[in-house]
Amino acid sequence: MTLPLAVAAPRRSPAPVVLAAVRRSTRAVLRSPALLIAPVAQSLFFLLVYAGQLTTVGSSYLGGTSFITFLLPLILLTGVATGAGAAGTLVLRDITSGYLDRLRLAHGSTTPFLVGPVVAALIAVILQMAVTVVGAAVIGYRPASWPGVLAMLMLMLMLGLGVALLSTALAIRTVSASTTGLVTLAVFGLSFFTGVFAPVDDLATWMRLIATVNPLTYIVETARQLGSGDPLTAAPIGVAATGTLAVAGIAACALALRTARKNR
Amino acid sequence: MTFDPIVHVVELTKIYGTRTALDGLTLTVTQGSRFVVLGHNGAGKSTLLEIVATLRVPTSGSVRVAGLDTATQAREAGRLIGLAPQSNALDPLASPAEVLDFQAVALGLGRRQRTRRTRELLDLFGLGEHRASRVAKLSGGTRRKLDLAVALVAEPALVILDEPTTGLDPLARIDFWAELTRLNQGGTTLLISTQDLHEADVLATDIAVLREGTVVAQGTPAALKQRVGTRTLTLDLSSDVASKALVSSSRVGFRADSDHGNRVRLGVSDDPAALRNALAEISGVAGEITGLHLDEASLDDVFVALAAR
Repeated sequence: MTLPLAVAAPRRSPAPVVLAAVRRSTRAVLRSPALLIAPVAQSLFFLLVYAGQLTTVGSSYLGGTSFITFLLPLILLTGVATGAGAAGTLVLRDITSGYLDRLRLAHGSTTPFLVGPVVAALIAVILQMAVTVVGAAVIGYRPASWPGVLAMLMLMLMLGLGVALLSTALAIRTVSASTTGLVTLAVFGLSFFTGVFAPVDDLATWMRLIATVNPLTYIVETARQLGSGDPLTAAPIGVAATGTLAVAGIAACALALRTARKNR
Repeated sequence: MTFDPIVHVVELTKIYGTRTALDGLTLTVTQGSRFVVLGHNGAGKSTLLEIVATLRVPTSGSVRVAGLDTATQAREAGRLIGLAPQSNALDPLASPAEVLDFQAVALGLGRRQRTRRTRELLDLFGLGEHRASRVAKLSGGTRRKLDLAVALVAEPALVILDEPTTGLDPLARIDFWAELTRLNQGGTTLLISTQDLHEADVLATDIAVLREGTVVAQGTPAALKQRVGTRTLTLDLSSDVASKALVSSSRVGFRADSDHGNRVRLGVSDDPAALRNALAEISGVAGEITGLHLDEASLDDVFVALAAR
């Protein structure tokens, strides 16, 4: 029997496989209009509609803060929730077609083929946020500092990591498109229970109560403070919330993989 | 380095919750064979192939591929196997060249080997003109060829194909069978599951018939045909009463069935003594015979006799 090539090949570091998996998934995102263009279009749509409708009114009650500066973090957050969910969609596609099994058989491990979609989704989120910020700048967004904007984008990227990991975990655990999309739906829905168009203190009492216990409120507030150069009073909870979401995502993926292994 | 048998399955059981998919199944696949697993839906074919391919873990029993235990040495055993699953398990957004290259990366091949292997396989399967097209835009037959090419990137000793020609048109099927035969002639062992008896007849050097998770018969196609009667004698009788009497007769010592009216199909043995006894019994039970027709046994007969619930 001829020795198969893969057996004859020397053991290599996993880096080339991870890189190739990232390249492949990024290519898939770029070739799937629904995964890249839809979140960008959604972000620009909300930005233009809300800014167009509320800039004049909003600026009057925001005490000098520009309404677009106030609005942009929420627009970014909803876009991140949609864009990062692409990770789960890509993983689910590979699971249902049997391609993931085939890759696992070839490589011996599933991990690189899950890292690929997560990183690709984050690359898509970066592109999407860049387009949104440029769009905002075109209609009058002037941040206090661009490093602050960069920090805001990093915070959103961290949130995107959590969403991507959790949607991946759901894809592995449930192998269902509707369930995989639940993370995006939950984050998207919860984002409207923050101070969307007005500061939390100005909301109706019941809405203020919900916003106060909603961790996304602190992420949005932290992002606003980073963009406006205000003191970072919401940052401890905001950063902890994004970090917790990312850690929960890693734990959920590990658990989902363990369950999948057990059910094999 | 030789292994004979290449796949050795012993007392394999797989239970999903309360359902037993495989029930103490034992079989052997010899190196260089084209081994076909036949059975109804739910007979356990796909589960068996998935366990051999190291994708599932047995509840009990053992599977060895080239001497390696697929449960405890899954990674090593997996590297000897090329897999073409039931559906086209490919990246629909990539091109054939990208799919082959990515498979080679997953296998740990270096850049030079990857380039060479991708080129070789594109040429081998006549996929060169489609090398840059999206997989989603290829025809079913071309996708199936690519599926097989992906399974061959590592030049595996064993290729597992789960219902390989399902959904292909007749010409694409014939073309694909030719590819499989050519591959096997190069020394690759093929383990194939199918429900298509014609496909089994064309491809198989060995067959295992599965029923309810266990092997009810294993052997060469010729041996299995002989087992159910080497020939089928079709008799037209004077009445359907006679045909029913013959089918239900407990004295008739061979397989008898009737698919309509007064026609009866009988599995007839090559053994002269058995044939003499059978003819005597037929004349005793059947009454007047108005017509007869003798056919060589087919895998349909094997399937009806052995795989039927």
